[in-house]
Order: sequence, then C-alpha cells, then structure tokens
Amino acid sequence: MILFNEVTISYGKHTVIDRLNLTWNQGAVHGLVGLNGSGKTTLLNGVFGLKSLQSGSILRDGNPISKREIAFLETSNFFYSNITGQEYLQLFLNRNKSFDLHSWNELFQLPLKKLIHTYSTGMRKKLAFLGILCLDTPILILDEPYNGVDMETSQNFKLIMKALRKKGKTIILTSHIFESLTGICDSISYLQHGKIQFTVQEPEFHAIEERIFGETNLKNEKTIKALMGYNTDPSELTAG
Amino acid sequence: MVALLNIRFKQFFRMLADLGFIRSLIGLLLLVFFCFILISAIPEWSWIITGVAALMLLGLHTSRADKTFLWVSGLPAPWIFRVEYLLMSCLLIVPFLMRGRWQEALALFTFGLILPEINIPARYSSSTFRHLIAWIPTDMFEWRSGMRKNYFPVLLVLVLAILFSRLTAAIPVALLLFSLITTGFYIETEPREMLEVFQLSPKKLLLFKLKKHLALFWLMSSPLLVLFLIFHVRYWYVLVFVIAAASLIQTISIFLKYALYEPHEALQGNTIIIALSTLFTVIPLFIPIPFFWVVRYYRKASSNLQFYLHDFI
Repeated sequence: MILFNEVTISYGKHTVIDRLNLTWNQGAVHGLVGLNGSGKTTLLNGVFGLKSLQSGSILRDGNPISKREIAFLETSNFFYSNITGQEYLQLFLNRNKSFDLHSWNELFQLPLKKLIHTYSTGMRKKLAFLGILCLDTPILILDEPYNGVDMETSQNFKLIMKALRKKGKTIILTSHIFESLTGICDSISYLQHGKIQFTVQEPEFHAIEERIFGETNLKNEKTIKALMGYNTDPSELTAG
Repeated sequence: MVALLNIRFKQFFRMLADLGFIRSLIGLLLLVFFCFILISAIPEWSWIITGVAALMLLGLHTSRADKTFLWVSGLPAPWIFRVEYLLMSCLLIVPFLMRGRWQEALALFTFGLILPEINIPARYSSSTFRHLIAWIPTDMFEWRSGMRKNYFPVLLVLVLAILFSRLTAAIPVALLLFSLITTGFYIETEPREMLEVFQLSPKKLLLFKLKKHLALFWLMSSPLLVLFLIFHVRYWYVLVFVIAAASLIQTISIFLKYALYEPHEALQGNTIIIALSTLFTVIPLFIPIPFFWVVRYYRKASSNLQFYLHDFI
C-alpha cells in the first residue's frame, strides 16, 4: 500500500500540494487527473524525491518510499547528445542483465544503432519507456506516456501496463486523454487545488467526466457561444 | 550578423555571470597576462604556441553544435565564425605583435580567416572509428559522445605527437592538449535517468567516474608515454609532472560538472575554470589553487548530487 499522509509541497510561498491524503493499493494501475497546473507533475516529483516534501510523508508498506523502488518516465524526454539508442539502453541493461532487449525492441522497432538525435519524438518516448522497463522496479510512474506516440505504440503501452499489473507492479499514470486512462486504470484520482477531490474505482469511471467537467463545460459553452455569436442553446454544442 | 554577434556577447556575459563576474574578470585578465608572459619568456616556443592555438581553434570549429543552424539560417555563417575566431586569437595575436613576432601573428590571423572554409564532418563514420568507439565501456557515455564530436582534434594531436616524438616538448604538450580536449567531454550534463541508473551514492559515483576516466585516458595515452620514455628518458620527471597536471585538470573538470549538475545543461562556463586550472597548474606559484579546487568542487558535487542520489548507498 502506498500512503500519502498530509503531504504538502510548495514552490517558495506558493503551495501546490496542500495536506494531500491518498491511498493506492499495490499491484494496480492508478490514474491521476487534473487540469493544467493542478500539481500532478509536482506530486509525482514528490513521490520520486525530485521535490522535497514541506510536510507529511509518503510511505510504502509503512516505510518512507525510496527512489530505488521507482522508475519514473517524465513527460519530456531528454537524452545525452551523440550516443546511440543501444548505448543509452546499455546503461540500464547493466542493472538488469536478464532484460531481453532484442525481443522487447521487436515491439517498438527502434533503430538502436542510430544516434538518438535522429529519433522522432515518439521514438524517444519509446526509448525512455524501454529504459525504465529494464529497471524492473515495483513501482512505475508514467507522466503523460502517450504524448507524441502513434496509435500502435499507445496500444502496446497499454498491453505492457496490463502485463506489468499482472506481475504485481504498481503503475501511476497521468494523461490528458481521458479515454486512455479509463481503459487501463483500476482507480482514477482527481487533483484540484492541491488536494485529491475524489477517487473513483473502475465501475464508476463513466461518471467521472461529468463530475469533473459538468460545471466547467456549461460555463465554457456559454463563453464560446458569446464569442462565436451563436444564439443556439448551449446544450446543442454539447450534443455535437 | 550584428544582431547575432550581439547575442553571442550576451551569451558570453551570461556565462561570466554564472561563474561570478569578479572571478571571471580576474580569470580573463590572468589568461591575457599568461599569454603575454608565455610569449615573452619563451620566444623559441612561439611557433609551438601558434600551432597549439590553431589546433584548439580547429577542435572548436569541428565540434561546435551551432554550425548547421548558422548555415541554414541564411546568416553569413563564415564571417560570423571568422569574427569569433579572430576575437579569440587576439589573446595571442596582440602579444605576438607587441613582441615583434609578426610572422606568428600573421599565421594565426590567416588561419582564423580560412578556418570557416575547412569542412570536416562532425562525426566520423568509418568502421575503424566505430570499432574504436565500441571499445569504450558503455558506462562511459561521455567518452563515446565526446570522441564522436572531437575525433579530429584527438586524432590530430595523437598523430602529430607520434610524428614529432623526437622533440622533447611534443609529447608533454600533446598530453596536456589531449587532456584539455577530454575535459570538454564533461561540459554537457546527462539526463537524470543516466545519473540514477548507476544506483551509487554521490561520493561513490564521483570516484567511479574519476577512476574510469583516468584509466581510459592514460590507457589511450600509453603509446605516447612509452615513446617519451624511449626518446627522452632523462626527462622522466617532465612526464611525471605532466601526468600529475593532466590528472589534476581532469579531476577538476569531472567534479566541477557535478558540482553544478542540473539535468540536460551545457555548462559552458566551466571552460573558464578549466582554462584557469591549466594555467595555475603550470605556474608554480599558483599550484595550490587547483588542489584547493579539487577539494572544493568534490564537496560541492557530493552535496549537489545528494538531491538526486539520496536514496542510494
């Protein structure tokens, strides 16, 4: 069990995560959603130790969570210049000799002998993903893993996450594409104003969009209508 | 073009600001002073100094990352390069002229003019070179990347050192130059994942990097060491000094990188500290300063890396 207990994270005087409480079961896929700037990445950085907690604690099985237990795929992926994909992954393979890179790469078809700066955005994401898979940690944090990847790769990512869950791994996932979470997650938590507003389990996913966007959709539709000069009923925009 | 040079000056001043203005100004003044003293004190070395400066400019031109951008941007790239190289060469051209060494000054000036026309591909793709790269351990990604970027100056320095190995100064100078080139491998910082993947504590990581770097450097330099001992064994103490000086400079470059480490940065300002370390190492009066920097940057690096590696022991 991963337990967030009164976690507060600030940037100077600006509190981004405010006395947050949350419990995640292990061996499951947990989605984290929130609008831009809601603090998703800050919270994930806090879990991984890239942002110090101002107060509170994050525990795994009663002990402070450690970086050694986590692999973190960040939203933007940077690489060292003038090295090949193979050379990058070799660093991770040195940690886990049993990882069968050749077979894994049959899924992703990366040109591993080429220099990374010749890779597309999607290829870089796949390369970073392979790297963290190779680490074989009990917890994986995937911050916007679908950004920049094609449909086939998105499907592959989902299949891999399902297989990892079956192996007992815990996956923490964020995405701006809501449907990409509902198809894979066991729970989805909504982060707003530095707190988890609610967490829903799989059978209730259909209602989550309405809970998050119901009010804002109505308000925004009115604004859009005014901007576009429509005289139609706002609900007609929604129907489209 | 003026706008671009203006940007370059702003970049340069930002780099100085990062290092601290006072420290940078003192450093630059020392650099100018050192060049002047060097030319005045050992005029018979003036052609060697010219050659070394030309090699350094060639190395810079071969490995610079903004060449493609400048060529495709429609700006007069060759003239931008010329202005930059001639400004840098002024550090030597002015003292040469003041000492009446107009031939050397003219040679360096001419080299600065023609250098932008020398087009050496940034990465070497022959199978021999690929085999050489494959021989470098995979956890030394700085070397793999650095050798791809700097293969030409490295090759030139090593080949010239072998060709001129009968001259006493050739191999010590080549070793110091090779050492300076490899310090450039530690300007770029790696992404966070490539730091954490070693799963070592800050102190262990620093020592691991240093040990591997020095082992590879001296292994690659071993043919030069052997040649020097064959031809100039009576000057064995020069070799001992060069080995100590080169190791010291490289140690500073590695510790300095991690002292200022942030993921995915180009720590261009470090080149000034490295240049100063090199100067201080060869001036007896200043020798304590590089030793002080080793300790200082080791401590700063351990403390800085603690943020990223605090969970590793």
